[in-house]
Amino acid sequence: MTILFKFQNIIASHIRLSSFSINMHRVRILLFVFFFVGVLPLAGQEPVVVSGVYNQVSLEEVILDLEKKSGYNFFFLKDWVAQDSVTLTVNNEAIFSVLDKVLEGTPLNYHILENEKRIILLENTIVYDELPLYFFGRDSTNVNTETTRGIRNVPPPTFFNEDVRQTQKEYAVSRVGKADVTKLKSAYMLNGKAFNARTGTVIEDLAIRIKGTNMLSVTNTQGDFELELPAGYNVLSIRAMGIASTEREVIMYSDGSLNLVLEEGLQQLDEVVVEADAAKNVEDAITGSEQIDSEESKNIPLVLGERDVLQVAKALPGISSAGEGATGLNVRGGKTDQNLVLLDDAVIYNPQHFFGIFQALNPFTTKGVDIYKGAVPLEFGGRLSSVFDIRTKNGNVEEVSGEASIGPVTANLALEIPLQKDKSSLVVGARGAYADWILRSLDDESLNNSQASFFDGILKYHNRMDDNNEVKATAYYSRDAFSITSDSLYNYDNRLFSARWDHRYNEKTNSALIVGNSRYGFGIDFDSEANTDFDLDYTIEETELKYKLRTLLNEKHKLDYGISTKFYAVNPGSIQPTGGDSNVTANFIDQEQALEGALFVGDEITLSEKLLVNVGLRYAFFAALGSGTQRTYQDGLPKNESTVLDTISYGSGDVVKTYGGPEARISVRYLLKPDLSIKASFNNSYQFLHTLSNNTTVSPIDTWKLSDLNIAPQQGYQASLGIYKNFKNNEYELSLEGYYKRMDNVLDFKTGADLFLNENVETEVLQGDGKAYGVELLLKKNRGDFNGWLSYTYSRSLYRFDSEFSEERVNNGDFFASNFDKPHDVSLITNYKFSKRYSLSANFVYQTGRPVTYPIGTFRFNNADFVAFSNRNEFRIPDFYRLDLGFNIEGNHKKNKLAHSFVTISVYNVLGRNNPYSVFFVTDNGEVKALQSSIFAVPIPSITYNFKF
Amino acid sequence: MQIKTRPNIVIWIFAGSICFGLSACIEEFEAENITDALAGALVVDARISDQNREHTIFLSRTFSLEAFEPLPEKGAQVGISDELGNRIDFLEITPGAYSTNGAITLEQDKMYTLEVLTIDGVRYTSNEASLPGKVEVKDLRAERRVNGFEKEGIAILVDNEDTSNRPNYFRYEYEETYKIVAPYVNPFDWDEIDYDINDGDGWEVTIASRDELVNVCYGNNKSNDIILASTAVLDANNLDDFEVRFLGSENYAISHRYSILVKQYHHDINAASFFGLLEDFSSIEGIFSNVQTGRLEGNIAVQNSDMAIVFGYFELSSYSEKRIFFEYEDFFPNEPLPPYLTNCATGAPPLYPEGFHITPVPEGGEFIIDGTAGSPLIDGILTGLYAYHADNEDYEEYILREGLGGAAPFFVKPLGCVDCRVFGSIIVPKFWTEE
Repeated sequence: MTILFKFQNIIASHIRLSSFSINMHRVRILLFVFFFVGVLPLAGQEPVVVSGVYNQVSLEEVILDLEKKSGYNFFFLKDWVAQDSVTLTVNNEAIFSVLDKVLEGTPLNYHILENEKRIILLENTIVYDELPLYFFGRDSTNVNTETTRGIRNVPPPTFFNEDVRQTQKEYAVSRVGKADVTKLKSAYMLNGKAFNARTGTVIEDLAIRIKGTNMLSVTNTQGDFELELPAGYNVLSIRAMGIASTEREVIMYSDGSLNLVLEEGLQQLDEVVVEADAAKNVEDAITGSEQIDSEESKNIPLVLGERDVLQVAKALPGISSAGEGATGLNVRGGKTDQNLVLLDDAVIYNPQHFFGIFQALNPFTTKGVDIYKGAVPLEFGGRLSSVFDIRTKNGNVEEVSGEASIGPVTANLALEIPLQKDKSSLVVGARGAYADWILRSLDDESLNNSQASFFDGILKYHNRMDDNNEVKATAYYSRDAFSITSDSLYNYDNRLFSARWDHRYNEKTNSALIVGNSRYGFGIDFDSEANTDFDLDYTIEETELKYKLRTLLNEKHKLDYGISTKFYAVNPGSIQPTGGDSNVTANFIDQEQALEGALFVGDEITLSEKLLVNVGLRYAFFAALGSGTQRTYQDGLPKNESTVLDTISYGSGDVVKTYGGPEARISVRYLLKPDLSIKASFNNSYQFLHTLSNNTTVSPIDTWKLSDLNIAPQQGYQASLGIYKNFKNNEYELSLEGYYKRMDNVLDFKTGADLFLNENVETEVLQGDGKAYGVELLLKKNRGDFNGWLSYTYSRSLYRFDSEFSEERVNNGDFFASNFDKPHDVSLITNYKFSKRYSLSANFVYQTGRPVTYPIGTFRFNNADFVAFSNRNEFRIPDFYRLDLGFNIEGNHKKNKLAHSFVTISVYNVLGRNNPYSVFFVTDNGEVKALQSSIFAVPIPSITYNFKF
Repeated sequence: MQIKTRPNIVIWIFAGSICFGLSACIEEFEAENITDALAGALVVDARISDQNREHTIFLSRTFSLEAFEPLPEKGAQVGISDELGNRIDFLEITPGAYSTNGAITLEQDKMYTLEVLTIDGVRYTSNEASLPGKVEVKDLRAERRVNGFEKEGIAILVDNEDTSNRPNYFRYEYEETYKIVAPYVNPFDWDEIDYDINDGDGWEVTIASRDELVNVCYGNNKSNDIILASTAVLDANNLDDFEVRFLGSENYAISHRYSILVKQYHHDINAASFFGLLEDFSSIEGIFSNVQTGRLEGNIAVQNSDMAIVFGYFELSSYSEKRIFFEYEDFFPNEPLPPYLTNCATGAPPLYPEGFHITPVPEGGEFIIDGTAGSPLIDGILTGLYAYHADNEDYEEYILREGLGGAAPFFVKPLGCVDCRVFGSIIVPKFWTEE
């Protein structure tokens, strides 16, 4: 029996391979020819005869009986012969005649291999004992296909390839009719009836169109239809009022019938979602939203072959970072702490490994990310610039499957395990880095003891209990550790849990209850021979509870409303001596606590077919809580030791200070044409926690600080206006969007501020305002062998810190460019598929060089020369550009292969452009030396092997 | 309470190394156009300690990076006053250097202010400062250690003693002196050098006995980086085992006998933060994170001008110092010495270059050398490259066989291998003791 199946597979795989037909490789053609040469029946041989009496005998038994009697080996799949039964009497009849009778009325054909004494049963199809005409190519490309058919009156065999199917694989391919050598035609009749899946009633006025043609049939009042289809593979596009638009694939072997059982339109099927998504760009009311699918991003070459949705995000307009190797993203001129990054509804404070070079998310468990940089959905808040809503996949509920990859720096593994068939599943992902070898392999003894490693793991449970209830839960942990000197170890970690219960109360109202807990921390362990060993820690932890509802009031009003509340607990820094003889004093800065809450209600109003308005109001509330102490300072004076008025102590749970206010979320969409719209939006927001950093770029040991008596929340206002157009059935998307943004009370720091383990950090903090504006152009090609996008952004990001007192002023109180202000930013992401298996990708990025603070003079002090710096960010480093290339090879598509493989060979920074990242002016031996750093100054090749099973 | 967590350095080295593996990460570049946009702002370098001695304040102007030397600020009136108005004047001794008239002693518990009036009429004054309390260096010692980079060597460690209950801030400088022993002792040295081709006997080099041996010298080295320490995060307010200097085991300075004088300046928190920032702004930082640089505010302000800018600091400190000596054998008994300061390969530079040829001058009597080649041997001696090592026994035979061109009369060593004065002085420092 195993041989039997193998044989089937060979046929199957040949059929698949041959779908490449004209473009096929020579080698395969030879195989193919060899195969068919082997099956040519020998003429003139006496047929074997058999006898038998069958009365209501199952087809399987009949076949097995014939196998015994005839001496032929039969090859078939058990499924094919499981259902039919046979009543027949034959007496010394030739085997082919018996088979004709036995298989009559079944979709089965047979083929006799006389030499091997084998009979192969085939479902629907027949074995062609000669190659289709022009199999090896045509001499002229202008031959009319129909004429060709006419001559032969035989259509070419249907080679159906699982991977060229055009629709989602929701429905099995329908095979209609039974091929009959004597009745091969170029088209066959299909008839059938359409039923409503829920009610069982027939559907009238259902339009059934053959995709890509104008051939159409409409069901009559009895739901009947009749349609002539070309032989072979066809896609039917099915539409009717109240019925979910759908597509069905059929293979026509001969005339036959097919009944269509269709879902109602309200229960959105996946296909419908896909349709809707395609036009989402134009039809949504939301401005400034982007979507990245983790799987789809696999072709984009990134550094060291690591798939990374956050890096891909940087190629979208309005999203950037200070440079390669800069942690954190800057969205529309906002600071890196103004992004709300969520992993399955819970905040992830640092979603990046290794100084931002890699994402801290397993690419195989990550479904994708929705990015909101303009109008942020009502349920989110607490950050000024953007929301990155990262979703983990729901596990496979059918069978165990997995994906794994091996790259030069990391290894990834993800498993999807069904727990309860068709209902619940578990996703397990783990990922580790082995960067140590890079350090070890260097010919530098001082690095032999250095280490760098990271790890992340995720566990997701998903249970779709019934149509009205769905439960998800996620647990995630990531950790980075690095050290160079053997006496100090730096580490940071993220931990989060979230659980979500989606519930449908009735057809109109559904809800989601979300609980999340996130923690971020870092530490430094210093263990030297001196008596200054210490262990230093920082943590922030938050717990969120959110309940949101959506009610479809009527056709015009869709209400969104809910409540969310968060509790923060921050350990702003602690240091403890380690080892017996350490003289370090233990120091614990007071814990900070706070409560953040929001109430929100919004309505999506469909005023007309063309005008969609989304109005929302969110009330944000924040209370800094005791216990703890806070200083008060004299009004109107800089906050420093000499202006302290009082120190107030708060008991546990006492309210230190409250902040809050209403946030508006308004967006409007007007459809000028079905594929052309304009949108406008306005929103404002509050942010109650801030990162403290005296670096020009983010470092993993920056701390988060809650607003308190002396540090007010940041506020932001953004207005945007855009025009969106889709072309060619949503194949192309074009959008042009402009925005203007104001920010109040953004934080900065006095030059050289000491922020860590500082009990009175407010004395180092400056609060000022910012403005950002820009225009973003995005052209996307979503489908086809050649796809990708081109984005161009012109934007500015300016900040101002002004005060009567010079110690609180930066650049004389004028607006200055932020560290990530890069006016011109062009990204081109392309992928060209030149066959099913091979594709080539290229990225190109160009950005204006980022601003830096540059020397404007030199001075001599303490017998050495030093540089005097300009006003902040008065100069720019040279422009940045980079080209990456990737070559992707999909493994072959043999169905029963153990694993499906995918190999990416990529070269990052092909041009070897030495893009400066920053400049330093170092005093060495009393002399000033100018140094510049770059992260990836030469082309970096890598090869990554992925496989699915 | 503040602590210097110093992640930047570590991150840099780490990242730097990644980059060296994959690409070049930090490299020097030619900084262009760093001309002095400050148009010569005043720079005040006023570091005064409680030592009873003459003190000097340096005044200069900011300058362009291309220029090598700052312009000294001449003709200024410089003085420090206490709160009672008593003033100590600093008089210009050399351009830009203003010194007290003989030794002075500042008093504890008094507040002092620095005043500078430049010749253009701009007045600068510092914030009030006072001498911090006396903290003595209690112990200075050397210890064989492996440092954080797993490098073996000698750590110079400081302990100091303070009984006050306030955190202390220190700045260190050091001067190290070490014995150098040239590996090739030679009683002979070059004597006459005849570099005249027309004096009848051509070029000639002779040797003669040395008057004194030059194989033992004393090298000297001063710290040129900013070394800061604080007790802010420590239980006690004294330092214990603070590493002022680390000498790798391959550092020649520790080969024989080594001495280090550690100078401790005890200053206040404001001075500590100024020097700390100066260090941060002028040292290599993280590849992935760099400190936001900006205007470095000192404690000196312009009083009567909107245009003038001033850099610098008026630092008052209490001073303490200590010196130690040690021998290589104390820490590395029977272990090979670190490599000598220079490679001591033997060479044989010819007196006449390869292919040497002279032509008589038509007017008669003299010769001119074809080409411009000089004598490799004489040129090397005159530029201080070669020391005499030995005679070349094959010299005569070579000339007979091959001619003058390329013939080397002597074997030579790099000068420093014989004469250690290249690296130090043969004068024994006054403080030097053996045992």
